[in-house]
Order: sequence, then C-alpha cells, then structure tokens
Amino acid sequence: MGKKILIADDEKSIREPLKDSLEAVGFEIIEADNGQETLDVALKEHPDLILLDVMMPRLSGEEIIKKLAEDKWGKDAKLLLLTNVSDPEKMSEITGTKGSNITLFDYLVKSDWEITDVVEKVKEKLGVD
Amino acid sequence: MKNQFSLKHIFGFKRKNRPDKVNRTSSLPNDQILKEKLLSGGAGDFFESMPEGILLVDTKLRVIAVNKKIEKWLGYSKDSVVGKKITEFDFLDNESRKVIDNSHKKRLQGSAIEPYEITIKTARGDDFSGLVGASVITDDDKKPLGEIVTLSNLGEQKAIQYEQEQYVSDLKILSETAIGLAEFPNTDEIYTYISEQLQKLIGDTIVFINIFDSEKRVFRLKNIAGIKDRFKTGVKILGQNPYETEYPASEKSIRNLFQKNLFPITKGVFEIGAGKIPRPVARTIEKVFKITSVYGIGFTWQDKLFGNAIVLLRNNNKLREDIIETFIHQTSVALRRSQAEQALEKARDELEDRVKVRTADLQQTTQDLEKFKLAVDNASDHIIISDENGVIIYINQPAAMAAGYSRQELIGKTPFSWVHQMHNKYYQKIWHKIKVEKKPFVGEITRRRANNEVYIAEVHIAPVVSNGKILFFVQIERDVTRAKEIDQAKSEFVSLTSHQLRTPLTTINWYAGLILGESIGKINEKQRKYLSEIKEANQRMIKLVSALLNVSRIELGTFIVEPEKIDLQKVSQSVLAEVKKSIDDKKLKIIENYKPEIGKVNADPNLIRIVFQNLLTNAIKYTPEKGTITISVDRVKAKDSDQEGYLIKCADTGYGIPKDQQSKIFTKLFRADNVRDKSIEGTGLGLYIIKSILEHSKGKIWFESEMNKGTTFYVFLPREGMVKKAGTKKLD
Repeated sequence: MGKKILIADDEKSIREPLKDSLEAVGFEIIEADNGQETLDVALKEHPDLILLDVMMPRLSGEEIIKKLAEDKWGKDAKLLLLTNVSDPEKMSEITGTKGSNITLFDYLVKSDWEITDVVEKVKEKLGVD
Repeated sequence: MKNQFSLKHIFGFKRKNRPDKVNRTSSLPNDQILKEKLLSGGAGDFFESMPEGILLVDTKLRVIAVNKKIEKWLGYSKDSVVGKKITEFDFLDNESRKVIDNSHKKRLQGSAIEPYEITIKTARGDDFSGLVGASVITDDDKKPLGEIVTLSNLGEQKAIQYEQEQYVSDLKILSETAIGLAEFPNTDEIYTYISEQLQKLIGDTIVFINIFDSEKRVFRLKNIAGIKDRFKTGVKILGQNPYETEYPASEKSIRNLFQKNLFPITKGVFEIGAGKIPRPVARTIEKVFKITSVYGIGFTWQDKLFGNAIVLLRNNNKLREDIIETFIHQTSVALRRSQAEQALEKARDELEDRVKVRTADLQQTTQDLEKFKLAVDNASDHIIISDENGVIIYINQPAAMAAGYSRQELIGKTPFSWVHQMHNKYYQKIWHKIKVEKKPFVGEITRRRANNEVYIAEVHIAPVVSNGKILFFVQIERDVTRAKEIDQAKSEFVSLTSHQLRTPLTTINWYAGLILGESIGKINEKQRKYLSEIKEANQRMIKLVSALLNVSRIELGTFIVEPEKIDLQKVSQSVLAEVKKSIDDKKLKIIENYKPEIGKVNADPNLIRIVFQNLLTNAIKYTPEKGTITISVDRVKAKDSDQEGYLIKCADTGYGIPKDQQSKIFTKLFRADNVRDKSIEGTGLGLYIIKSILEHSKGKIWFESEMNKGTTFYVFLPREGMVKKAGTKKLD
C-alpha cells in the first residue's frame, strides 16, 4: 500500500471520482490538469503509475511519453492510458516509442469502464491486493 | 393455182402446140376432122386432164365430145350429151340457150365474146354455176369447123375465193391478236380478249378460258365467250360469280393439254363435265346449244401447262388446225408474259409496300434514336461508350465537361486517360471484371480534370454482350466529390462529437457508480432506485455513442479488419457470458449447438464479437420471457452457391419482423414498428453495422422471420474467412 499514482486529465470531473476511489483503497494520489503539468509533476514526484489521458492541452499524451523517455527516471515509468479515443493506430504509435523501458500496461476507453473496474485494473497492474 | 388456168391460157397453149388451122386434106365430115385433130394421141389425154369442163361442138353447136369434168359436174353421162345440140339441152333454161346461141353466132361472124355465166340444173337436181367461154376452130381456108367450149366451175372458184378470203381474214385476226396481246394491259381482261379473238377465228363457238394452278392442280375459270350472257344469267340465278371457279384437273387432261396443243374431246360436254354432268344432261346441253364437236386447247410455255381453252363448236362448224395452232402459240406467249408481268407487278407492289413499311420503321427508329441521343447527350450523368478494346466511341457533354476536354479530344482515347492515380492492380481488377467475367463493375475512381483539379467519380461500367461477345462498354459516372466531402464532414462531426460526448458520459457513470457503491455514505432505497435509472440511461447513451462511432467508421471506411485464427464457439460463449444477466432476467432458455469439427476461423475477433453481440442482444431484446434462443455454428455450403464456409445461426422465439418491413431491416436507424410499440430500446444501428462488417469481409447475412413465432438470423463466412483490410479505427 501507499503507492503513488498520478492522475493526469484535464477534466476535474474525471479526476475526482478516480481520486476518491483510489484513495479509498489506500493509494496516494497526485493530480495534473494539463500535459505540461503532468510532465513536471511526474519528473518531480516519480509516481509508481501514471493514469494518463491521451488528449490534453499544452502537451499531448504522446509528447509526454516522448519527454519521459528522455528522462533518467522517466524512461522506466509505468503508464496506464485512459482515453475516450479508440484509435488503435495512434495507440500503437504511442506504445511503440523506441529507446525506452516505459511500461504501457493497457489503454482503457473510459466510457466503457466502470470506476470499480478501473480500480481493480490499477490494483492488478501494480500487484496490489 | 386454178386461177392460172384461164381460158386465155388454154387457148394460148393450144395455139402454140395445136394450131387452130386444121389441114383439110381429107374429105371427112367436119366433126370427124375435129375429133381426129383435137382428140387423138396425147391431145386426148390433155383434154381429159383439163380442170375445166370442155365440150367440142360443130358449127351448129352439136356436141362432138365432152371431157369427164362435164360428166362429173353436171351429172349427165357422155352418151346423153354427145350428138345433141347445146341449144337443145333440156337442163338449160331458155335464156341460157339464147345466150349460148347468140354468142356462138357472133363468134362465127368473127366477134370476140367475153365469157359469160350460166346456171345449169344438174342431174342431181342442184344448180351448177359455170362460166362459159369458147374459141372457134377453122380449117386452112379459115372456114369454121366448130368450137371448143369451156365450162369453168364457178362454185368451186367461189369456194376457193372464199377460202382465200377466210384465210386472209384469219391472218388478219391472228396478226390483230398478236398486236392486241402485245399491247394488252396486264390484267384479267386478257382472258376476255383471248376468248373473243378465238371466237372470231372459229366462228360459231363457245369458248371457256381457264388458267391452270399447278400447285393446287386445278383449273380456274377466267372467261367464257359465246354464251356468256346466258351463262351469266344462269349463274346469277345461282348467286355465284362464274369466274375464279376452280375445278379439279385430271392428270389425263393435263397430259393431253400438255402434249397436244389442240385435241378433240371425243365425249364432248360429258367429258368436260368430268363426271359431274350426267350423260343425258350433257346430251341435252349439246342439243340446246347445237354443239357438234368439242376441242381442248392447252396453253403451254417452256414445258409447263399454264392454261387451257375449251372450245365447243356449234352447227357443224369446223376447226382449222393450222390457224388455231398459230393462235395457241401466240396466245401462250402472251398469256405467259401477262402472267409473268402480273406476278412481277404484284411482287413490285409488295416490294413497294415493304419499302414503305421499312421506311416508316426506319423513320421511327431514326426519330427514336434522335430522341435517345438527345436524352443521353443531355443526361446529368457522365455517359461514356467505348468499344471492346476500351476506346471511347461516344462521350456525352457532361462527361467531357467534367474531364475538362472537348468531346472530340476524348473520342479515341480510353476512359482511364484522365484518372488521377490508379493502382495497376485496381485497373486490372476492373478490366478482369468487365472483360473476362463480362460483369458490370461498380466502384470509385479518382479523376483529374484538364486544370489538374481532382475529383472522385462513382463509376458503373457495364459490358454490353451479345452471343458471348462484348460489343461495347457503357460507362456511367457521377462526380461524387461534393457528396463525399459532405459525408466525410458528417462522419467526422459524428466522430468528434462522440468523443466529446464520452467524457461527460463517463463522469455521470462514475459519479453515479460511486454514490451507488456507498463509499461516500449510505443512500436510501429511493435514492438508489433513481440513481440506478440515471446510470442505466447513461449506459444507453454510451452504447448509442459507440454505435454512432462505429457507423461513422464504417462509412468513412476507416475501420480495420485484422483476421486471426479464432474459435467461433469461444467467442459465442464469451458473449453469452456477457449477457447472462439479461438472459436470466427474462428467464430465457439458451440452446447451444457447436459442431466440433468446425475448427478455427480466420476472422477479426473484434468484429466477430460485434456480430455475436448484436445477434444475441437482439434475440434477447425481442423475445418475450421464457422464450428460447438457439445459437449454432456449422460448416456448410453458402446459400445459392457452392461456396463452402461457416454458418452462424441465431434463432429466437420472439416477436418476429413484420413482412412489409423485412426489406428495410438492415437499413441504418431503422426499427420495426412492432418493437417500437413495445417500447423496447434500440438504436437501429446494430444490424446495419453487422451487415457492413460482413460486406467488407466477404461474408453474408440473411434471415427468416414469422410474426410472433420468431426470427432466425444466418451469418455466413467464407472458408477463407475474413479479408484483411487496412484502416485506422477499430470498431467498439
């Protein structure tokens, strides 16, 4: 327990239920509401997992991954993409970024997932009961 | 000729060989001297052989000798005449005696007397008409010894003259006929003319003219002359036109007519009647009409019989064969010519009629063609006609305008000469379809105008095939660029807004979920119920958005088909597990029937999943409680073909699809009336999506349905499975 999760989404109404649910099961939550802030917070706080929205202002999810890959810590970061864009080509472009150890667990279409299922997925990926 | 033996000649002859002066060396009486001088030796033979009757008389007109002609003509024997004076002959009337005596006396006095006519009563009782001439015979002292009296048979001469006149008249009729026939109009009037001429030629006769129909083997009556009026009246009473009457021609009569131009019909009217006129009746007819003999005349030409004349002679009238045969010959030629010309005229008339009809047809066709051309020229669609090698032979104005060239510039080029970009494989595919398979091609091609502007054309190319040979290709195109742009914009709009919709939908879903999960505090039953309603409505909205997204992906053509080996049974079972709750809620019975030997199928798992999801959720939705749903997968042959593949069958015992709406069931946003009435939720997109998926991957879908009994959907996948398709979007 006590693992740190960064919730990166420009919509507060998405971040808030995620934050509440994940805190309820014992995760430490930090937030970012745009791309640049996501990168800054991640590089400062070194979260165990980033729940990353793909479409965000200032820096897109794709650019964030690229930047992370250039960072000493960031190249080993673990990410779970949360999106409302079901675009497999774009996703494979993102996940196929070379020269990094970045772990992209999965991409979830937000509207298709119940909040409890998202929590279960996070617990599973982080190896937490 | 008998005319040549005139008295002049006789005497001329006599003067030459037998001088009138007789040598009076003996004392014999005059008659003895005459006999000796004129009748002895060869002269006697000559005397007998003369065509004239000759009497040798003394100066007192006493008969010394006569030749046999006198005996023959007058019927009196030599002995009853010789020794008698002519003026004492009791068979001469007084006037004749007087004339003879006077002329005799004048001659003895040295006057020349012209021959004169007398009539003698013969021993047979009839009158003999003769011409009398005489010549005085003198002795050496020019003293008359007697006379040679000649008697010419005037009756015989008249007969000869008559015969000659008749002959001339016949010749006149023949030549008149020849001219008449030659100038005669080519109508049936020729038969009247022929029968009239024949009647003129023969005299008192009845003539029937028939033509011979060689196909029907009948004679057809064309004209009657001689009793025409009476016959006509008779026939009128019977109410029948005598002409064109047909009667059978016996082979014997045909043979006779053909072999002999003219032949006697020995049994007369009875024979003509061909058994239809009883013998007594035939005899009566012959009696009434004074028919004494009957002849048949055949008109033949080049070994063919084409007509005949039946000639019934009356009052012992005779037929002159040579004249008639000439007539027949003449007439045959003319008749034949007339018939040939009639046939020719008929043929010409028919030809003219046919030409008229054809001309009218042609005019109509030309008018139709012109209308057609105008229509095609002015059609809004682009129309191109090219020959079997794909060379343009016609292009309408809109097509040329779209290409940006003149019509003349494009004729002779191929319809592919102004494409923007076309993969060689696509080009070959089109050609294979239209040229080898000889089937129409339907698709899109990107074209470039003369000004380099690019446009998308929807193209239909149909080969026009006759007897397995391609005559030409008809290509109809439409510039769909604008329509495509609008479609694209529409789909992009749907896609974008769907994404934007998903975020607030997620928010509602998650917050409602949090409250319902009571992690932030207890809620009462009413609150739970209301929140559940909100969540459920929201879920429907999420599904609708997903479906709309799928439709826009399908319509944009951006969805991916990524086939891999999958187990249809597993997909089916997995989807069933997903929808287990709704199955249980409606207490539905599920029957699963998977053939173990189906093995794995090459298909996109995502798409197959959508197919199963839609089939099963529809079956659940539209089947009342406690109903049955049967799902099966089998290997089969395709409907209407020998193609092998996989058949997914989903049968329910539900409401069914109304007959009148079955054809619309795969249409986008369509929902049948009966399920709308039952307020069953649905987007009207599910079947449209499945059908689109299957059409994009060589599969098929169809169904059978009966109202309130249920519906069975069939999905067929070819053995080789789905075909890979590149794209950018997955379907959800």
